[in-house]
Amino acid sequence: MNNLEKAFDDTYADRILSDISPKPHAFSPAFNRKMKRLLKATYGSDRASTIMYPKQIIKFAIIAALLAVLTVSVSGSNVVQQRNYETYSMFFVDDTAGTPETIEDVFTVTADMTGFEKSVDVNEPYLLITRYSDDKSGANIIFSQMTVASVQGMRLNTENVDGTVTTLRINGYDAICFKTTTGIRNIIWDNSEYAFMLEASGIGKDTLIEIACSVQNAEK
Amino acid sequence: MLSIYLSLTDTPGEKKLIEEIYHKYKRLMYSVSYSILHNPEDAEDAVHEAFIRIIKNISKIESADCTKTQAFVVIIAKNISIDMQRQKSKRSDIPLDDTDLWTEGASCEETAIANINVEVLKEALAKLPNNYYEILLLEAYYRCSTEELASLLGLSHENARSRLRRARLRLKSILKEMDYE
Repeated sequence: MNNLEKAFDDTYADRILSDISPKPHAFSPAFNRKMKRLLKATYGSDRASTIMYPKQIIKFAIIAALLAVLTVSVSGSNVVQQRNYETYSMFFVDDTAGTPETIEDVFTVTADMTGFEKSVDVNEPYLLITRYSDDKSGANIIFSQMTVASVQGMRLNTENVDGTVTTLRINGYDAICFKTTTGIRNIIWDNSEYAFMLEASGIGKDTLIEIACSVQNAEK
Repeated sequence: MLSIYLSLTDTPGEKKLIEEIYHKYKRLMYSVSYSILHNPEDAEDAVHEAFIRIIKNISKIESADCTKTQAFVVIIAKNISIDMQRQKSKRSDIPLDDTDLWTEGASCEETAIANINVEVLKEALAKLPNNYYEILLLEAYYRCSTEELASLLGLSHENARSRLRRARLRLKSILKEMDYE
């Protein structure tokens, strides 16, 4: 340690910390949720957990992937293709001004889903996840809707997806489609108020696009 | 609206460290932010943003339970809060830089400064404005590169380098006034 470092070592505590008055504070639920997601995104993605808690990881992947399309649609460029996917990608929403804090308008799949059993996996103010399962064919589709405001610091496993990424338009909005290394096909888009994702296995790309295009405001 | 950060290394040790820092210092960071922003929601936003930057620069932190880390997180939270306050007020009533006084000129002779008597340096550091003290502290004591300074303080690379240069020049000037250097 040189003399400058010693001088800092002797002075920084008084200089930086002495005039701080600890203030009792109960953090808001929104802050706790945001931090929970940030911390989870930072250290919640090891593969062992994926095997042990598949449902949790699916939800996590959906949230993370939603951010990718938001980035694409806002920036006007395909972020997914611009990045190195040897590892995970992490996304954050910097500004949620003007977007709904909770889901006020529920969107649903209106395509003919005969043969599929429908179930609601998650029903929270900021996130709705509906699952469609066809036991005969083994096909599974998960449709998610979430508020932009609820999305903060999430991790997306984008390992080796770059070769499968395509962009398309869903109901007039930019969308992104890619297939994960585990064979799950994803379509993600947003309408500036909500973000949507379809995650499917056992379904062809064209069929999944048709389903995506059928997503409409349930109340209209 | 959105920005993207690639997730960097996340060894088990770093994961544990981040969690420890969060639980140990979130209230302290909130207090710092609140003292500047005077608004609970804004202060929480500042703390959140601070943690994003801390996570990105977690390699600068060796241990959660030490004064050095405590000062580090406080500096980050404080700088973010000042920046938020400046953006909010759209005024320059919170000084960050003395942009006119120490612009171009001779670079700081770091080695020479590092060899000056510790007590003299302490006296000189006491005369430095906080923003200059903090950026020099981050550089010299926490060994942050210019890129890391920019990331931690929310500055462009050029602004970080510029502020660092001005801080060095100010320190050198103070030492000169004290008949050192």
